[in-house]
Amino acid sequence: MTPGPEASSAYPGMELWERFIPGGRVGWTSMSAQSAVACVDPDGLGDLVRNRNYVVLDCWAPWCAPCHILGAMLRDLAPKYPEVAFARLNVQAYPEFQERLEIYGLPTLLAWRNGKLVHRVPGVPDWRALKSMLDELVTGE
Amino acid sequence: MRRGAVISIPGLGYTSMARCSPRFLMELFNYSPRGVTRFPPPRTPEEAWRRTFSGLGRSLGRLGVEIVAINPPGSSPQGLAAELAEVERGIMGALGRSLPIASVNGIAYSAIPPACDEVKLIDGALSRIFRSLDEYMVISPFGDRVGDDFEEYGIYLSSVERPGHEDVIAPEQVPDLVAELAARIARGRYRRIRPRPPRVPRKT
Repeated sequence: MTPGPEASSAYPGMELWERFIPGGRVGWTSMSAQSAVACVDPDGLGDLVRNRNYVVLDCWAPWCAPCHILGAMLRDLAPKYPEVAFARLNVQAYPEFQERLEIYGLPTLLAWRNGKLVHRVPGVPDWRALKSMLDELVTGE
Repeated sequence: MRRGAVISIPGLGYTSMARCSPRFLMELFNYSPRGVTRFPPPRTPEEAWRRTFSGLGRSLGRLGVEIVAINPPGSSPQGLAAELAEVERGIMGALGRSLPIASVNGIAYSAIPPACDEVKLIDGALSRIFRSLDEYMVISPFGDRVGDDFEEYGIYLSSVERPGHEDVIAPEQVPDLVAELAARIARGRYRRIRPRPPRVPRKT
C-alpha cells in the first residue's frame, strides 16, 4: 500500500493508504497494521455501500471503551466473512455523520445489504448475537 | 485508612478482553467507571512506568499517603505466575498503611499477545486482590502486542472516574487520577476518627 496523495491535506496526522478490498476500490482510508477492518470516512462508506453487497460499519470513538471491545470482536470475525466489507468510522471526527445516521450511543453497528440498511445494533452484542447478525446479513434469512 | 491499589498491566488491551472474556475483568468492565488510555510510542513497560507514574511524588506528598512501588519494570521474576504472586504479596502487605502501585510486566515482555490462559491468570490474581480493596485502578497504559509494537489504546478501570467523558486518558493525566484515589484513601482515615451517625431505618 502506498500513501495517498490527498493524505496530508485532507486528514493531517493520520496514516492514509489507498485501500483495496476484493471486489472494488473503496476510497481513502486509514487502517492499523493488525486490522482486517478498514477505517473509512463518510465518502469511503458511501463507496462501500454502493459497490459491495454486504457492508458492516462499526461506529466508534477512541474514548469509548466498549467500542474497543467491539472493534476487537469484528477484527476477529472479519476474515470468516470474506463476502462482507467491514469498516469502522470514528464518529467523533464526523459529528454530522452521527446526526445524519441517528447514532445516539456508541458503539453502534450498522449493516447494509445491497445498499439497504438492514441492521442497527447499539452497544456490544455477545459473540453469538454478533455471529447471528452476520449470518443473517449474508443469507438474508 | 481505606485500602486502595493501582495495578498497571502494560500489554493487556481490550482486544485480549474481547478475545478471552476474563470473567472478573469483564464484570469490572460492566460495573466500574471505565475509560481508554492512549500511549504514544515508544511503548515499553519501562516507558509506561516512567511516563505514567513518575510525577507522583509531588502529587501525593501533601496528602500524607506513602506510595509503595511493587514490581516496577526491570525487576520481574521469571514467569507470569511468579510475577503475579509477587504482586499479590506486595499489594497485600502494603494495604491499609500505604498506596501500592504495582506493575505486571510479563505479557509486555513477551513477543506475542497474551494467551487466554495468561489473561485468566491475571484475572484470577485481580479477583483475589480486589477482595481487599475499597478503591482501585487497573490500567494498561497501552494495549495488546501487535508485531514489534503494541496497540496505542489501553484499559482504564477505576473507582476514580476518567477526567473527560469524551477524552482518552494520556499518561500525563494518570498522576492526578492516582492523587484523587490517594485522597479518597486519606479521607477514609478521617472517617474512622469521626464515624458516621447511625442509619435510621426507612419508614415503610
